[in-house]
Amino acid sequence: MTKVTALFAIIFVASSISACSVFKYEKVKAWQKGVLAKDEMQLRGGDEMEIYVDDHIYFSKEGSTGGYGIGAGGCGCN
Amino acid sequence: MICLRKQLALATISLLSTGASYAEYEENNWKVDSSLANYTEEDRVSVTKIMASVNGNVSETDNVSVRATHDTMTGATPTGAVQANSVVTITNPSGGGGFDATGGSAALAPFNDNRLGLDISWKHDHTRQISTAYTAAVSIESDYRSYGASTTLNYSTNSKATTFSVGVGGTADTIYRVGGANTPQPLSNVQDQIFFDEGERATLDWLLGVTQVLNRYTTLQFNYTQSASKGYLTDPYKMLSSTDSNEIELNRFFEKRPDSRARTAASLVLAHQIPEREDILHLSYRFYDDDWDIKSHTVDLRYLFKLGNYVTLGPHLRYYQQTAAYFFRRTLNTGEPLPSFASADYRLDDMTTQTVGLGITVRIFQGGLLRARFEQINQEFEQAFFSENNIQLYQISYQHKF
Repeated sequence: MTKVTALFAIIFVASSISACSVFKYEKVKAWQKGVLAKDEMQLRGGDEMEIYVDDHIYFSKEGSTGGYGIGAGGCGCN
Repeated sequence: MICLRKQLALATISLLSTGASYAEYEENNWKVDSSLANYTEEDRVSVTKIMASVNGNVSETDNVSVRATHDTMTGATPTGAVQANSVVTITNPSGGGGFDATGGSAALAPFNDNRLGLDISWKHDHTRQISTAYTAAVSIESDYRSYGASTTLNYSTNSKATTFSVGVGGTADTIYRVGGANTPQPLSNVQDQIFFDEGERATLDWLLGVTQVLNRYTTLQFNYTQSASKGYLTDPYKMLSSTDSNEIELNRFFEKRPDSRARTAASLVLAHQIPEREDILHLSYRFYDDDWDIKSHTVDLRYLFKLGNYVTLGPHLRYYQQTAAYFFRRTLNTGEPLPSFASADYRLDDMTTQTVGLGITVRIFQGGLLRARFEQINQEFEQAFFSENNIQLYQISYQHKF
């Protein structure tokens, strides 16, 4: 439980740092979309090679799949 | 400093496939990526993955991506049977099949396999607000073949602040034991060596998603997916032991899983750049539930520290917890009648997975991006014989934009 607590504490702190700015809604003009278009701002981290490997590992070693998108191939991994 | 050309182009951002996200305007049209990953489980499986992909805008409205993967897998995997104390040694007359146990080897089966995978995706902008994406995937190993395809429709509001996605996909898999191209009779005694033909299964998936731009620094996405599989869902190699009260193995059976599985998963994914800095936070939560009684929670956190213009440091934390499948059994008990379904596969046990990782990204040359990362993944299982699985992952990648 200690590790879990620590993990959630980290998440909470990280969220708190930017809590105000995260959920403040504004209408974004086309010329203001520079940050959103960055590679690093792509959802789930932006590095497709790393996400692909992670998804493959956890699909093979855990009992859950999917939830983030659609279209990945299967694997007979043991 | 964003040049004027890029600013104008950003006004016509197109949407990507699975769920919507903002594609970066590519000043350069083509992107080539390559990656090498090494995955090692302590005392068990090792996998080396080599991946290469090419992504390009083939027209003003079309983007195509092709990725090839080759995996080499070696090591030993848990069979689900007890670790040997006193074990029955069985071989069939031809010397093959059955199992042979010395020391702890009954519980682990060695294997050596290669996998070849190919993924293709095509994204097409029909109008400024509507796009579709198509994917196709093939995966082949010596004991497994999988073919899959999907299609997703994305619709954005006029300001592109909100994007709705709906997708559907399917997979057809063929599974069998290597060499024999067969599958064992489920819950049959391993000694009897009863085998059937290859196993087949089909899966249908669908997805609903919404992506919302909250402000100029933040995107939030919600996805809801369901999946239905039918056919051979059992693992043709996995077994479980029938033991006495001291967990001495007296018999061994092949496992049996239901021939259908219905899954539901929902995720919330956030990307946020800290306004005062250029650091980026990625946070996601996924809830999963299926009709095998497996429920899970996944939390994933990545933080990208921007160190100057060229280097980014990225710690990563992931926490996963699942409940066991209702038919998961550590062992069968001698004397009890065989249940309808049973498996000792640790991946169906109550488990937690904790991941701690660190990655570094370096911009080099003109348009080059070098990435390296290390991840420590620790799994703990409640009932399974192998109560933990400790994994180390190394990955190095290089991407170049032309």
